[in-house]
Amino acid sequence: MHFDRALTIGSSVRMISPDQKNCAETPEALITRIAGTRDRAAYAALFTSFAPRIKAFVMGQGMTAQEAEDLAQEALLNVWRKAHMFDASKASAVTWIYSIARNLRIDAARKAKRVRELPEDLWQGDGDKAADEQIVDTQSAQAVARLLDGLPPEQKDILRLSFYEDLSQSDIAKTLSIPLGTVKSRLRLAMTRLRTAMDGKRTGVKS
Amino acid sequence: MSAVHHPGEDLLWDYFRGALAPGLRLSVSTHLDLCPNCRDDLRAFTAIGGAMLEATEGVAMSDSALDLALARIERPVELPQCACACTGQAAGVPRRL
Repeated sequence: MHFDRALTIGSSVRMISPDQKNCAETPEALITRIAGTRDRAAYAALFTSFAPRIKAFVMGQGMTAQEAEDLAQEALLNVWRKAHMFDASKASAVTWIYSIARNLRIDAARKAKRVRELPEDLWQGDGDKAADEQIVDTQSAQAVARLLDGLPPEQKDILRLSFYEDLSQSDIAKTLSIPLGTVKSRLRLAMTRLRTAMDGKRTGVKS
Repeated sequence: MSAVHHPGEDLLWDYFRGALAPGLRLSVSTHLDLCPNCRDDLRAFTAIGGAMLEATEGVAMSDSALDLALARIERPVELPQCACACTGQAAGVPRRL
């Protein structure tokens, strides 16, 4: 089977350059207003900005439009309820929101799977280390985006297929018709670069 | 030589995206408790995800989505006492259309 890379890779999710956005107010400020005064106008602005992107993101990962719409609603509702837990010194707003949406998507997938094949108690209480409190990313999402932009195309392809298409590394290898080892080394290179930048910028990590 | 055996990046990635079976998930989780290095990898995954969400071009929500969202936050769910003027009035909320 032949894949046209230009058509296949990341085709379901379109990207815009970070410069195209000129928000009047940062999402960090909006979340702070929600936390402080349950500011509904701030919530409306945040919803308008993020719900469509979350919807697009999880549709790219295989959700139907309706499922994605519901998940986007749920994610923003979580932002409203957990706004007081947001700490701008630990994560940028978009990273925090991404994490919330990601957890919801995993929950939804597990729920669907659990119904089919697994006893419920197996899924509980093992503590997901990637959960909200784990995020300590002092980089702005824009800074990370610029860093990702500077990666060689073959590394970017791996990241796009990983995050936008939600593929395992062996599925990425099949999709691109390259050895699994190549996928691993490209991801390792991209991660090393990103981590070097993150480590250099880190101001404090809780133990 | 370190006796620690790190999960490979493919395993960490599958852990991150929630694709591991429960037993394996528990093993990775236990390792992460002890390994700051692998925790940093997860943190990098999260940062990349955030940047990608940032750069994603949105798909339009349904027409009633914002109304629904504003109605849903009205429902009382352990909301803290609120001293401001937002006592249940949706009317004053500006809509961005």
